[in-house]
Amino acid sequence: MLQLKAGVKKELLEISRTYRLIALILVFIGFGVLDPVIIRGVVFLLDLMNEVPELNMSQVQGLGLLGQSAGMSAFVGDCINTCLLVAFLLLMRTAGGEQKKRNCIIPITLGFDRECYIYAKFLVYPPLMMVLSAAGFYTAYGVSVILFPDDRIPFVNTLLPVLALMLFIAFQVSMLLGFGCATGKAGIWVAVLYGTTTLLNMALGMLGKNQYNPYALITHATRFEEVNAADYGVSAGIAVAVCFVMAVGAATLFKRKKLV
Amino acid sequence: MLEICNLRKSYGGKTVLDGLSMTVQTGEIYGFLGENGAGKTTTMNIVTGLLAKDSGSITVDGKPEGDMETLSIGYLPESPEFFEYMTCREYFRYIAAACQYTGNIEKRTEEVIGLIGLTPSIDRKIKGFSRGMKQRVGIGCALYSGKDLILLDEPTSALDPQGRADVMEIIQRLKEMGKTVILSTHILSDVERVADRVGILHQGKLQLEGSIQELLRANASHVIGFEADGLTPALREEIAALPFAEKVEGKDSSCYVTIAGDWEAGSRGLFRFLADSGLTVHRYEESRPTLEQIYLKVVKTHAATQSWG
Repeated sequence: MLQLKAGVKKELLEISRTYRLIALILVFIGFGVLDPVIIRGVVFLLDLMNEVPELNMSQVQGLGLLGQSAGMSAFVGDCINTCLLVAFLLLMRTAGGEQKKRNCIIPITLGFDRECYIYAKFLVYPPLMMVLSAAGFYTAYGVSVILFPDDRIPFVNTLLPVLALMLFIAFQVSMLLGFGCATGKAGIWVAVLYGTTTLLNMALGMLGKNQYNPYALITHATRFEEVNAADYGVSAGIAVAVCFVMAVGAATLFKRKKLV
Repeated sequence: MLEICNLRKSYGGKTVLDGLSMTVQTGEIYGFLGENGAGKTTTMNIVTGLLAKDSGSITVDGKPEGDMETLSIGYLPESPEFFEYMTCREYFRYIAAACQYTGNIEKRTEEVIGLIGLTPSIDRKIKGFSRGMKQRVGIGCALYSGKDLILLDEPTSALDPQGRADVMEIIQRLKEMGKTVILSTHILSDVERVADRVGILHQGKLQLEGSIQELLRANASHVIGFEADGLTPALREEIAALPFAEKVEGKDSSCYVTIAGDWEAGSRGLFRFLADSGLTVHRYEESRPTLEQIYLKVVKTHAATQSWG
């Protein structure tokens, strides 16, 4: 327990003292502010061009393409693409990079439990990234409420989408931590996971099979009206299970891993 | 304290340790010498459990190796890396958790930081430390839990003279505290300064082991040079015939005598001879044998044996 506490404290110091936390906050909150503003800007430009007869603004807004939900969906898209990539790059050091630099040799030869060393990372980073994604999501929500006062999504309708986003981000970060710590090759896993997210999500969407898997959470994060409860539940359940499997798997493999 | 018996380790067909056997006594500083790639770091990594051996046995205080928690070893790896965003105090608190220190952590942290001479920098981030200061942090980690056997892998390499002097002073202090230290290095003057015994590792085997005095007596040439009036060829021949004189060189009034075997007894014998001969000695110089000579002799001998074999 003492070692787990020390490990958690070490991870918190690492992310705060190395300015990674500030960078992550800036990215998540930045997109939370920027995305609704960009959508509002598009609406503003379209309003200016309102004289063009083919454009019917009321129809466009009526389809929900440029309202609050558009601002929120834009944030979810950026969160899963850009914010996640930034997070992956900033977490490379903790997900295997410090093994390469041999920072953990001294504590481990002195008796620091290898499992505690890994579990501390899983206790800090996935929850932290969940909090950051939720903060970004509600920043986008707050900004879009101000910018689109007539097209408001009820707060209660945001609860399941934000949970879906948080779980997806935790799932992705856990995958990076798991594979990165177990192999010590975080850089390769950043490329693999980022590529997989984009390509797999696209492929599953094209095949119409994007259900009952953690990638379906991306769709759930942008659905503010109705929810397919079964799909949501199974996808969320698998994502949580993967997080646990990654933690236990990485700890087990790291226990047997050669560090020199 | 530490007994290594017939230790073998190969990497992809290349034999690094080829039946290494060595013994380190309690309370001594053991200079573990060898050129780059001789297998010093591999030996230390195996002893600390970081690396698996192919065969052989290691016992520390009679306990077999394997589980680090049952052994009493502190280890400073070569080029140690730290969590540099932590302050010195924070890092030692983390180390206290690592070694599950059960006493007063704050007191012990301050005590260890005092011992390594970093009290003025206790609340500074390690990131801003010089290499010498980082090495001292590493030594502090190795001795934090009060373990009796401390392995230091190249603790003075790449340090400036002041950094080296500081680290050597700490090692000297560890000796005074009764710790057993294995000091792996190829800076031979450092070993000569602090080590009680040395072992020379070459191509995976311990080629030579013993106390520095023993090795100097047995393996190195000790030359005494002097200038004296009335030094005749006959006297020169008499000196050459002395039992301890290995070689006599020089011309006119100067003479260089290479002492064989026990150089203390040899030099006493030479002085007695000079005094009995009634010579007036104007200049005297002594070329003391060095560990470097022994080291090079071992390496060269082995290389020659190999090329002949």
